[in-house]
Amino acid sequence: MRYKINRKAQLKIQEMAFFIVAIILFFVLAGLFVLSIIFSNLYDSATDVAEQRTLSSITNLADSPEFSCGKPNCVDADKLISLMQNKKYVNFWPFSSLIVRKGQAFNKTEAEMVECSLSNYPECDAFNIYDKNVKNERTISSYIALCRKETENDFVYDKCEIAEFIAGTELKLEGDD
Amino acid sequence: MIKNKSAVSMPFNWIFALIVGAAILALAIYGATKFISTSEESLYTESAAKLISLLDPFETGLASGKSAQINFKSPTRTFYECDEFSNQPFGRQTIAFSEQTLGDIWGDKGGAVTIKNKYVFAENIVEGENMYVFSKPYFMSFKVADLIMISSGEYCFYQAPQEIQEEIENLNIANIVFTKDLGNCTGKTRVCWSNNDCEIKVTANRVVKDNKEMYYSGDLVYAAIFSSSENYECNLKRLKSKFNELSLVYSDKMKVIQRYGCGTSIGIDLDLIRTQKISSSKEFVSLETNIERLDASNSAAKGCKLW
Repeated sequence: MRYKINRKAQLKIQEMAFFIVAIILFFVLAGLFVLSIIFSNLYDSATDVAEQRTLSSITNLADSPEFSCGKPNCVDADKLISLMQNKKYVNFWPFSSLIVRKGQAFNKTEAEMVECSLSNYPECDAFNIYDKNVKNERTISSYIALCRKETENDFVYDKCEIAEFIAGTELKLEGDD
Repeated sequence: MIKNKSAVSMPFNWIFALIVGAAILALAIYGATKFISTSEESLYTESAAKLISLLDPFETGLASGKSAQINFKSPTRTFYECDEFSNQPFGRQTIAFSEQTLGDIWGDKGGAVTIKNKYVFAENIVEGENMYVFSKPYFMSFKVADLIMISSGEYCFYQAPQEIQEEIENLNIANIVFTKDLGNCTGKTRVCWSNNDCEIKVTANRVVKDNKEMYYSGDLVYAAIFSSSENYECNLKRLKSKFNELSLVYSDKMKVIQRYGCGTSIGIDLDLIRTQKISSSKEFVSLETNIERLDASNSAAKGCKLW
């Protein structure tokens, strides 16, 4: 009789232990499910905030000292040549890439575009300021006036044309580090 | 005997259930608390990031200044830190955010969000339901950056020079009042251009605050008034680094425009300032003589001005 009672108690304890383990497992799984939903939203909101930041920055970028030609929304092309060589600016702006594309290249494909350098400037299409080469990126563009010094009959003047800033935002996706 | 056994088994069941129940309950409470604090932190971090986006329109462009008021639904704290050594050569600042929750308890500080392309002058902690922001362009012959001043609370400017009063009134900054009687400054931070006993004293080239001296010239006076000395000194070093990089851009531009027959000798003056190292606001302000010479060299270039 004593043996029977002990065994019954043991079974009861075992039953309870399994039940507790099952409950804990259930809550852990449910928690993980909820957390995965929350964290996927977190990635979305991080991307949203980064895109908002890119958008608000790019609208004022032409007037920043690095680009400004001294007139509103006007970029100095002569400064761009220098900026392209200055890699220190890669971590200065909140963009993953930054390109200035001249109006003449709006209808050209990436392969057709001639990238500007000190040797071919000003006969070129795009200034690649920097590119962090991120895996996932979304770009936003903003129109600007692009001006540079030009001479005609020994007279120096500002020659301006339409261009656009193209700024990239790194997209934070689930699974990316 | 059996009856005795059941009498023993009942308390055991109860004890077992109580211990396990308490453990589960403790785990659940711990989980919920952690979840709330994580959510709070992510929300505050997002708020700080959004606040940085709100500062973008304060880029002055060609304007002489901009101002606005940011209102929050509940009292908030924003934390400002500056580090001139990270993100070389530009340095960086961080903004963190916190909010008053139920029972007037302050929530834990959210994650610090980094700003690398702005120069924010503020106290280490700015607290209140309203935040007042204004910006002024800063020139070292050419424009270097925009100074963004953030404050909360009321400021009382006593015996301020006429040009400062006009500038502040034109910018329509709501938390600054001008007075000729210190008696009108009760409950406000007193900023005095005199020897009176005020929280902030302004002399011809210095702002004295919390027994610390911050040297200034021109519009840096606003930065010194509204900033902690740590943020001020650090941001001046960041501004000098920005000047150095911009001077390289202008040196390269000089080489480009020389191809069009533009010759200038500005390079020497640019190099002279660029190579000068500064370790304090006093040394920063002392650059002024060389900046005036740089300005004169650029003005002399007429059609071939670099800026």
